[in-house]
Amino acid sequence: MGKKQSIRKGISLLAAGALVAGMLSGCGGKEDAAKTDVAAKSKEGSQSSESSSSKLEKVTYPVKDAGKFTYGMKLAGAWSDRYDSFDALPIGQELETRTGFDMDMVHVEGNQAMNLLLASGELPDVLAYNFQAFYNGGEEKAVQDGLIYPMSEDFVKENAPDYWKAISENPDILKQVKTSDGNIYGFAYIIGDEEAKGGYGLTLRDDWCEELGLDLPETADEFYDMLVAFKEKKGAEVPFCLKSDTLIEMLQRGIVTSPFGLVCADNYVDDGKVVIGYEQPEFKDVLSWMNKLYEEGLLDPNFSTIDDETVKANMLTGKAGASVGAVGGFMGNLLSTNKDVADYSLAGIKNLVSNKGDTPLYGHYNTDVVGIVTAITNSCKNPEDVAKFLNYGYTDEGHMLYNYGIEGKTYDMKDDDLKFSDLVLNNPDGLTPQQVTAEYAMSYTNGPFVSDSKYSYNEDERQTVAKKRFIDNDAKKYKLPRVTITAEDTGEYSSLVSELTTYRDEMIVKFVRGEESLDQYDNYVDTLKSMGVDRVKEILQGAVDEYNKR
Amino acid sequence: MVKSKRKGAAPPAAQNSYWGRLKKDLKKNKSAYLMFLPVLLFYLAFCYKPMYGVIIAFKNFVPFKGILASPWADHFGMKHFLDFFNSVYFGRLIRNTLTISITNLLVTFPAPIILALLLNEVGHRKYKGMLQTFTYLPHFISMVVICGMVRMFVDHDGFITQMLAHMGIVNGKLSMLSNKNYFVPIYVISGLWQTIGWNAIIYLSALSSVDQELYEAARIDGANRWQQTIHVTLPSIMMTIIMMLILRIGSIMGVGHEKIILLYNPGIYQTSDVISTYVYRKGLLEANWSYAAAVGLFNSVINMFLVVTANKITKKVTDMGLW
Repeated sequence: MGKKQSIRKGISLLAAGALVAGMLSGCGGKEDAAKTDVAAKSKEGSQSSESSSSKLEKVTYPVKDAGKFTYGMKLAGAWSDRYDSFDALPIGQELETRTGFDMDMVHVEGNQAMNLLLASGELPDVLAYNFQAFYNGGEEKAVQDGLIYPMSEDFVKENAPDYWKAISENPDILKQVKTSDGNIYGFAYIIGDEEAKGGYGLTLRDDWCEELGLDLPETADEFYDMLVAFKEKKGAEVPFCLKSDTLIEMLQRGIVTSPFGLVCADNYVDDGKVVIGYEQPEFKDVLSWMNKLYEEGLLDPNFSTIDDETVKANMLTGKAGASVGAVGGFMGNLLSTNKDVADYSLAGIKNLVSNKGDTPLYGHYNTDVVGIVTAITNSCKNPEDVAKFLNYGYTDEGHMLYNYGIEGKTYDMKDDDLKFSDLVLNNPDGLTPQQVTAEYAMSYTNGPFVSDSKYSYNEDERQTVAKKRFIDNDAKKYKLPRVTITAEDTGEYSSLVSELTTYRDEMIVKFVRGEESLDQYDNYVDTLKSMGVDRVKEILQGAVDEYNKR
Repeated sequence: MVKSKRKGAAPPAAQNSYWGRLKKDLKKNKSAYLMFLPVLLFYLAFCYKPMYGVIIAFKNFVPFKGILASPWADHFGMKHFLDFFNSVYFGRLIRNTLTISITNLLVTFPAPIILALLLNEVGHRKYKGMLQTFTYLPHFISMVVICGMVRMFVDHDGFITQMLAHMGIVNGKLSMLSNKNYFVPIYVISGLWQTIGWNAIIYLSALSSVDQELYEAARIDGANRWQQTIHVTLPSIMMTIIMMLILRIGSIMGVGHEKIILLYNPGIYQTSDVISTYVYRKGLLEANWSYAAAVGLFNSVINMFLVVTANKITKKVTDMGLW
């Protein structure tokens, strides 16, 4: 909060400065002070005419006459057992004091409830939701449906300069937060560092491997041998334990597909061309390998009915020795639960490959902009003001608050190093570090800020290593960008995709369980074709081309 | 109004016209109509008014634009219906819906009648009461808990699975819910367990109102217990049975989605996915409102048709019907 002046003052100053310079054009100029105007102007001269200002007016917090707005978000399991609403949390209260706004929370239980809220047509002013995943047609369609208030570049520059800075620094990110007509659909959660984009892969008992004299597996065969050893020598009932959703996710994220020459079982881009992974001939080999694991009792025979808790329990008690999951939510959770168990250790391994030393073709890799978007809705009477609130997460102070909490409470800065306080590490009320940070920061979910995983309170060395291994692949080359499907195709696309994925998921389970013989694979592909998989490819191709042209 | 005025010109007819009679009746039974008013309002507000929302089945519903302003769907509004009829899942959904509900009807409809007849024959009062309590207790457990219990019982280490595995009927290492062939039996039998006692109550009350003199007369005529049941008891409660049957037939296509959603998994969609669960996934999970509404409406139309047909048939056969 450098300048202690109100927005209005700033604007009048700028107007004066601009008038003197005789350069005021529309709502363009937004200078910090008259002094810098000349310098900025000369800079502008060399740039294209449409970027009317390169230096942005700072928003001063707390914002004067900020007022009240309604804020819709999903109730988070991270704190909902202790608090009723976000504005009752320390972070919520701190946000209100620091920004001067009064948040009026509208909490819903889950995606279903959120869809019902949207269907009611009575929208809160601000909505935090994963439109890409749960709203038919994503943000583009939400804008078209009149749900999201589309922000022009100028609007963002003027009212959320720090957000503009965060998205305009990288042209790739700017592409991802725009709709096809060039408006910005909302305040995105931006992943700040490369490693945080991955963090998902095979997790297994490396202490068992060591005991059995096995190297960490790299190829599909080594992985298979390891599972056999786990079963025979360590008495693991279900050596490879995961539930069907995770199994499909694992295939989609290409964790075990590389050895068979398949990038992944999802849509991906190869040299600018969209490829549908789950209709490729190589996918048959992946499935028959999975089927082999199933038939030999290496893969949990009950994978289609078990839940996350069972998987966790199996991994903790030695009934299972390998699974798939996220480095924090799964691996970290297991390690911290079993931290007092002497002979228990886990390792994340690189995605499987066909020859030792190869780089896997694919792996879990997020786009920069991911998950929940915090958008201003069309019900909002004062989008300019609310934008200033949402801008806060992208300022330096806001960045620290959203990621790490309140300085002096959850952390202290010492010599440019962040130290978590005792409140987090040894909570007097017996809360876990995760629980405490969920109250003081928003790092438990996606929000209007740039994520920062530089400092961590409890990261195990093994997790750090796993993160590096999980990201060690060529996913960047094949990853489908965050495309938007054009409005006229949205309806068709989403209904095709939903039918296709239902069919595909069902067939994957059947192939793996051997209920459907793999001789029927060609039939499966034919059915996909008859269900319009080619049309999906065509629509996606159009979207990718459009994205590349942005 | 116009009608009543015109008819009002001819006084004798007015006495007999519908409006005339209504007027007279209104005057006569003022308080009864007054008491009926809240019920009427309830139905108008909660059953008839929301019906106009059904038009979203013919539109591309956009919540923010509202029902009326949303654009009409292609093909004269029939797009979503055509999409459904052409969907690869159409045949399977209809087949599963019919299989599950007809099996369910065949098993769970006669069972409470039989139970009621049996209970009726139990002479020991305390024992009868205890039996009744035991059989209708599961009715008071919520569906979620019932399904949680069922899932546990038929899980790979659940007692039912283990029992059946010992008899060599199922594979003791697998959850029974992962086998598509077991879904219908699990659904029907757990439904039987949950509803048999409660549904028997209505028949028991019907049985208690059977004139005892009829039994006396039958005994004098030399009828044994079995003959009494066939010739006295059953005909006496036939009206109740028929009424219940028609009501049940009306809900043939309306297999309860809660229970299926709580029990099924994608691995066994082939036998467990029904219209209502499909509507749930399309509408609530994928927010495809119009499509879900179209499928739901189609379902309701079939239901309506079934009730009317069932009523007609029973009327012809037994001379009894709902209307």
